[in-house]
Amino acid sequence: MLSMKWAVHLAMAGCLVSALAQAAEVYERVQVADAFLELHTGPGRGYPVTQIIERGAWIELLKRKTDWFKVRANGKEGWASREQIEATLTEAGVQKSFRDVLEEDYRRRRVEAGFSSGVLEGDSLMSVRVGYRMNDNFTAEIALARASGDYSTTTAYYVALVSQPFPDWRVSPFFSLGLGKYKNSPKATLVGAIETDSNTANAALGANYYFTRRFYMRGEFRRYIAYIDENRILPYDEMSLGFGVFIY
Amino acid sequence: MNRSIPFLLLSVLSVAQPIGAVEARAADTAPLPGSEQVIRPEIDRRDIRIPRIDTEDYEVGAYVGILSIEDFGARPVFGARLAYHVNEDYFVESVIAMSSISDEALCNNGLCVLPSRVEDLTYFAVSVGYNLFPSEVFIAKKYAMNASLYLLGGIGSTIYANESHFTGNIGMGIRILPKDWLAMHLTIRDFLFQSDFLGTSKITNNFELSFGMSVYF
Repeated sequence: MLSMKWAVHLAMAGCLVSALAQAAEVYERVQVADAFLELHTGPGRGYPVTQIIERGAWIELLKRKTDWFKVRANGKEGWASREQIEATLTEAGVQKSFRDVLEEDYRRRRVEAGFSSGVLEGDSLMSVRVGYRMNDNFTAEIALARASGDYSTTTAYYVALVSQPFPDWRVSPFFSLGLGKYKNSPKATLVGAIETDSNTANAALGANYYFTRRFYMRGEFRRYIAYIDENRILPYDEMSLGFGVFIY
Repeated sequence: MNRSIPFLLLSVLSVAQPIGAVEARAADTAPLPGSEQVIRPEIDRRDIRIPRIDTEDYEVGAYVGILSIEDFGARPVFGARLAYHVNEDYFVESVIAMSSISDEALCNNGLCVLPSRVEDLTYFAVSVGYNLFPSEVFIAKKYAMNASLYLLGGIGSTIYANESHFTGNIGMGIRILPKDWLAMHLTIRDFLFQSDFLGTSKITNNFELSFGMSVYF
């Protein structure tokens, strides 16, 4: 009885998937306005041109891989470059244009993620972070950093507020304040080493540089203040360079 | 009798909408009762909805292989990868994999370095790839598939026995696409990290050979 129920669920899911697939069969059509459109055998400039589509024919844009479009017309299928597709006309009769990911989108980004690498007190460090841009000047971030050294491994995670006073600059400086945890575990081979697990406040100064498309580079200098106990407050310095991607 | 003609004309006109000017002139010549509007053109605005083009720049997949750790031995590795193709030449990939590391051979000779005989090993890495030789491969007479030889380089971390080591990796692989959306990879990679068991700190070369499949979406 249970297997019957699963079979019915699977059948319904299958119907839904096939319905969706059939619903997605409508492709955008553009008309070739150049003398002819060249179709390559693969999505790359090195692939040979084996077919052409002449002026006036309507082609369907099936899919896109990076800057190449798989098109279909008159029973022929092949890959056309973006430059060629840009010269075609849409159903409305105007030239086909593409909405690139522009610097404007970078300025209006809302969710971003990044990966950086650097040095923390002499140890190689890697960190990942996710940020939410609340408005033009302020971003809330959560980050995890891990440094592996000869004698110990350090893990730090924190929540930070990043302030960008000049978000419109291509190289945009920022200042950040964060709170979190700082843990240092000495290697098992060392004898008598003490593990540190403390709260931390950290401050950073850095800059973002918009690179291309969805990528931007980020460099920063961060100082962690670890509150070991009432009497000991130790600073740890980090310098890192990395890249970020913004999602939307 | 006279009143039925304009009404007949009206009904004909109201049915034949897009024809336009000829009917307008015909309506002008017919006598109009009162202040009724003769023609009520009701042409709906065409709803042109352009379907989105399916972009397949992301790749997600899994791989299996053999990872050999210098001085320890070779063990199977299972990993997952996520890649983003920036353009036809470059892509960025991130991998995370699990394997194990064993010092049994060393322990049999009296040198037991790890807390237990077999320890879990995890590594993750972010790498940049370059499609060096985009190409086409042929199988027998009938099948041709797009392929590419690529180079990889990146950084990451290898974690075992509660220690994490900053790791660099270089490698190369071949990617074959039986379908546009499906890829098969054969990759060989060298993971370099500093290890200091036996007292001396040295940079170890740890090779991995893996075979994977991934899907473009």
